[in-house]
Amino acid sequence: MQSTLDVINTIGVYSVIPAIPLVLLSVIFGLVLHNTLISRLDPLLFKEPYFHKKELNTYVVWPLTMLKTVGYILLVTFPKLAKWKRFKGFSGTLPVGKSLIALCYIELALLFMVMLTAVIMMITGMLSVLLS
Amino acid sequence: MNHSVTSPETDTVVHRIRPGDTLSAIVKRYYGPVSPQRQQELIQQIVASNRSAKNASTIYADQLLKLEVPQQYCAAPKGFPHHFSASDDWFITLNDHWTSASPAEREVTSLLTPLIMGGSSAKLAALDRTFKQNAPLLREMVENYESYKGGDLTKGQYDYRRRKLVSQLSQKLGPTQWLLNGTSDLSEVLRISRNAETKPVSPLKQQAKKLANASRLASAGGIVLTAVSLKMACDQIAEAESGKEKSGILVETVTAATVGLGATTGISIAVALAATPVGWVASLVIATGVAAVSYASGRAARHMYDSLGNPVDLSGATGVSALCSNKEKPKSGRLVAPGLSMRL
Repeated sequence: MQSTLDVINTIGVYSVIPAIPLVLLSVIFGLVLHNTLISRLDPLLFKEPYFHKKELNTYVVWPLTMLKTVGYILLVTFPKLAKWKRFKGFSGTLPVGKSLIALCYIELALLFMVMLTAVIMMITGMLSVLLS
Repeated sequence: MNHSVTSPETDTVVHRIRPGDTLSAIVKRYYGPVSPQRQQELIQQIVASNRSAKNASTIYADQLLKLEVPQQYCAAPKGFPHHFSASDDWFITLNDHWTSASPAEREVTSLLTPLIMGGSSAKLAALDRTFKQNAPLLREMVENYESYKGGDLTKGQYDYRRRKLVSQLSQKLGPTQWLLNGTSDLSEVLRISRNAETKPVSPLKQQAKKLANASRLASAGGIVLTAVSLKMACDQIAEAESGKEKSGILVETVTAATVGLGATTGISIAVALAATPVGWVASLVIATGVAAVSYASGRAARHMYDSLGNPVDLSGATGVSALCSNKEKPKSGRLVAPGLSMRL
């Protein structure tokens, strides 16, 4: 039991090492994408029917405005998925270059890894408290 | 300013234009926040009903304008929400709770307000608006005092107006008045100074400045609070005596931040895909939930680090220890944010 607990504690604690660059990079890239995408895509997409009337009022305020950016990132990277409900019926061309598309993929990968690390941290933390 | 009732819904107000006044500012003052279209309509209405104003760009200081304003502007009843939109029900509820709460309950609410602000920075735009719109009441208080000293108002008139303004301000600020006065009586804070070394109205001007600072802080929202919490963690790492203690703080902070970001990302993707509007209440619940989970994860990570027999010095290995070195100790208490000292 003690050795299992040691393994859990070691995994939980050392997951901090990849978490530091992941969080830093995802926040920096996220802010860059947020500022770029809202200026390019808002005139095209930030309106009904893609956003609810209530969202048009609330998604202009930080941090809720980031929800809009996540939607735009998904539209750039996984258009079919994003058009499934949110951007239903949108058929225009997005005014984003190849570098911006690449940055969207990188950001999504970083966020996915952050989520994975967060899940590992939560599970190990919970197990450590329960087992000790 | 003269008032004469013209209909059950509106009053006629004669407004004397002061240097720096604009028609849009006057509209905002009397009608509250309105859409740009409504603002233009009201400006056209003012120009049309005042011969002296030929168009929206020709007004001058001391010019008198006749304005049809909502009657509530003159005597705001309890809970009157003219400076809130329909989506601000949360604030009215909170305000009702505040006005009916006991002093002990108010103490708790005033301590919880920063948490609510931190947990739901989306609300901060509404708070920002609240502060900006109530700052004129403080200015009016200063003007009344100057009129009283100049002999234009009797002491009775001045006292009546002051009481009315304090009551209005107290009602409109609701729980957010803790930023001005903590839990003391607002009328004690908004007083005329008897100190010969300071100007009589300086306490009022200080409070107006405090409101402006709080408003700036509110608009910066979560960014300021995040920066404040990171700065606090950095200070704690700098002040920690052992490498193990420093690493423990680092593990706790990074875990809490990672879990917070991870949970927020997951929720954001779900919301973006599901096309479900997030209301104020939902955002408050989500923010509180994320804050609770990330805090608990941070504490659990600290427990894990402390349980490790011979842990590596993570703060030294990652360079955080050098980054947060204590070059200069602060002379006095920690400054949380300009104009706002937070009780923790």
